[in-house]
Amino acid sequence: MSSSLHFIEQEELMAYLDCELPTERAAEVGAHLEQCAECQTWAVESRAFSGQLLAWQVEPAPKSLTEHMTAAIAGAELKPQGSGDSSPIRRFALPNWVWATAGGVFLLLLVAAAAIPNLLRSREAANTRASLNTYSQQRAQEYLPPLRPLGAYSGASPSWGAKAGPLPEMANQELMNTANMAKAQGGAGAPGVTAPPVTGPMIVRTASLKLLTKDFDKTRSAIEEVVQRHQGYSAQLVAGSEPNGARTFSANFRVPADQLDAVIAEIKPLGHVEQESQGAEEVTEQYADLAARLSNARRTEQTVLDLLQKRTGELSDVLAVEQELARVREQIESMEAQLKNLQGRVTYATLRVELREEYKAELAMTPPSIGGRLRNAVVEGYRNAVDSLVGLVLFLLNVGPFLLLWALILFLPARYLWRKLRAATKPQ
Amino acid sequence: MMTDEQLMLAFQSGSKEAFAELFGRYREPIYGFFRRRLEDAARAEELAQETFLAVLRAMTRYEPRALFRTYLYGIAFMQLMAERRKNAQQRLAIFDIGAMDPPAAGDTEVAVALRQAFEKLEPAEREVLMLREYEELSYAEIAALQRVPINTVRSRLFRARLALRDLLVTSRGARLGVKE
Repeated sequence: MSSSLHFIEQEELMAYLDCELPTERAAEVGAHLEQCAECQTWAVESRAFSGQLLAWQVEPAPKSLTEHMTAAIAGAELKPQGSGDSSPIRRFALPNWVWATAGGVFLLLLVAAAAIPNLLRSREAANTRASLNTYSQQRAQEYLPPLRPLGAYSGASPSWGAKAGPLPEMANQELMNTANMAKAQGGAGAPGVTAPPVTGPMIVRTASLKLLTKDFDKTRSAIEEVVQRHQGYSAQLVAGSEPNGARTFSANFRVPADQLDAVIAEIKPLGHVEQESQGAEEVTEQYADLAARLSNARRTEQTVLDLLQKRTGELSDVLAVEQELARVREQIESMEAQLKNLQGRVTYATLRVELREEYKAELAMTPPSIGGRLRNAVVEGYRNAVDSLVGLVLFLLNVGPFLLLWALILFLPARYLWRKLRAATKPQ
Repeated sequence: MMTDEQLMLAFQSGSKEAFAELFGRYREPIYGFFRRRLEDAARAEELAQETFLAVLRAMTRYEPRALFRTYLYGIAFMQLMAERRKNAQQRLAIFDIGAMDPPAAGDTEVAVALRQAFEKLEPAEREVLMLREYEELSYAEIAALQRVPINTVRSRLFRARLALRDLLVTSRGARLGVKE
């Protein structure tokens, strides 16, 4: 028998004889069968073959099967649907999918219970950082106003005090009281550096500028001229250049604090600003504390002097008083120096300027050879391959145990759900 | 006449007569299902009984999503698979049709030849052919039982029929009277 019959395959003809073909295709095959003698022969043989298979018959079911099942049916406890179930276990019997869903939810809750505390900690830390950043920004805005046009500030005392918040005001008031108390205690008539009363926040200002310029010499001269014109001076200056490279210039200028913004405003147009930053440090409390200690030290000095002039005694006592006087004066000198330094830092702001020449490589430079470039490419490729391999290993070591754990935990529920889903969608 | 599904729903509602009717309808087919596949008649009876008892026990969970016949043969098929696994563990290749009991006294010569020819078929093809010819299941029902696509069932059935036909023709064709 041939394996194919015209356009009708034998397998399809078999399905037709089994009444398993779709209606339209069955009509086509039926029409063909009426006209094709070969197919008719094959169909007759197939039907005869199926009939012959029925020759294999088994004996009837034993009577004992009927008897047992009759007894089982008679003894079965039928509970019509909707009737109550008295068994406490059966009452809570639920479909398997309910248990599977509950198990999945339980696992999710377990994961959430393990993960949420960490997330909360992370969020709390983030909130704390955000609060600190916000507070820092607020503090910075209080003491570091945006750049203003030249002349916006007038007088030696900067107008930032007007913007001071409650904390600086309170601190200032306290420091004023301390200074006045020290003054009342006898510091007014003492010689040496006198601490001026604190009338507002004392701010040490710093600023930094990085500039890029094409005309290096002209820009450098202009910068120095601007600083000099604003009664500033250069505290430190370094200039240099590299072979076949750009020239650089960096300097720390000291300019009057109230002139800092004007200096910055004039320097910035001289080149391309690559980086600009400003900072402010409040030293009011430090200054007032130092002033108070200085006053106390002077009062102590005066007391010791009075003691030395009015009292008489043994030589050892006089020497001890002299030593105490020397110690107190040393302290006074040290504090006077600190006070002077602090006043200088407040009066003169520090401006760091870094100037870099815009430099273009000369065309005459020898380009890297092809061999060198190939060698570099090979080395770079090898390095990338090793890096990626190491990264993969690190990733697996880092995440692998976690994935393995959850794969083991979720394997059985997932397999169960998959089988249920497949069973529900398979053709009936 | 009530359908199988209606009887099953009636049984769920408390009618024992409905299940007795179902048992009457499928007693012989289910027993034949096991008897053609197992050498031990007593074991075939036990498994047939277990199949009906399983339906009895699972009555409350039955849902008429498929034909009751498919549901019933599904349980029987699972019983058969469990029996095969158990026998395989015991190294008693009971399912091997060729190792079945000697032909009964009442078996015809054709029946004996058929048993021996079925023995030589591929197991998967043999199962499909038997489900189709003796249990008279549709392609879709066989596919659902064996969890394979319908086209796989059709191709297996076609190959099994050709193979069995050739076996009968070449070995015992003359006595069976199968035409060349």
